[in-house]
Amino acid sequence: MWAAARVLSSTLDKREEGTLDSTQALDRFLAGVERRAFRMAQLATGNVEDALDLVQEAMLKLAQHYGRRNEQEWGPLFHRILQSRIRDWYRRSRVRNRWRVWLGGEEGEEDPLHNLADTDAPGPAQLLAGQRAMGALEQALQKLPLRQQQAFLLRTWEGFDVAATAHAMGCSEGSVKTHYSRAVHTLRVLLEGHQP
Amino acid sequence: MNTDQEQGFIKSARSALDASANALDAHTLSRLHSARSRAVEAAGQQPSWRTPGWLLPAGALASTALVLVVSSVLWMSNPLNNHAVSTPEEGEIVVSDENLEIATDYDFYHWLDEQTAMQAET
Repeated sequence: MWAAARVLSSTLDKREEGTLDSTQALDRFLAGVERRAFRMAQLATGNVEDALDLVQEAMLKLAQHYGRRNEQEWGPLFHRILQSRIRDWYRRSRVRNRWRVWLGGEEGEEDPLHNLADTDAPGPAQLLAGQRAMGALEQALQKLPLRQQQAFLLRTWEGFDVAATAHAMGCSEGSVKTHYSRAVHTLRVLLEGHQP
Repeated sequence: MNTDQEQGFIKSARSALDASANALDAHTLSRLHSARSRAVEAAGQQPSWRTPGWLLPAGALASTALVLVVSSVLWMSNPLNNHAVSTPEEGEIVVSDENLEIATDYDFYHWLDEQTAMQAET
């Protein structure tokens, strides 16, 4: 009887240790991706508050539904959740904008000055060297269609291969290749516009 | 843009993005930290009523056994002799075109039967 109790206690201890290890691993994983995830969401939404909400929702869903999965699966799963949340946000905001226009408001028009080439700026490679580079890149990224932006950031920044990017975006590998290729081409054109 | 230029461009883009992620302000970092803590806490509080892994095959086995028992009971309570056709010969009669014509000329055969009966009386 005592032996059985001891075995049960030992099993429970081991289970608690396993849960603790898993929780720590999850914390480490989230700490590693949270900044990039936030910046991706911010680039997509153009809004700090919305970006923070989206990242928090993605973290919670990963923890609640996939926290017990293998650590290797967390990266693609997290980005699949995040990208899906970003797409939902994008759809909602488009509907909101349509209503705003229909009710007589103005659609968020871009400042035309943003599109003017700065003839004093250096070429793309030098341009991407400093803080000014990030400003130019950020503007260019925000001009991309959402799917191109997602494909570019996942492939370039997260280092995902085509298959993992397709999983995260919920589309085919062929679509990823198309979106990525168009994104690189458009970014190049937008950033080269700053060349003297 | 050739491949080298493209690789250079992508490397520069990655560096710029990394720099922007590392330069997040303290307020944003604090909120990200809070969000992470909530998520990790939620992971640690997974419901205890979650179905144990071993219960799934056991449930599938029990369901299969139940289906087998019900099927057996139905089969035993509904023997073959209740069927409309129990022998191959009867089956042939049912599907044969010739015999179907007999069914459609029922009035003729009824009259023939009456004639036969009248002849027998006389």
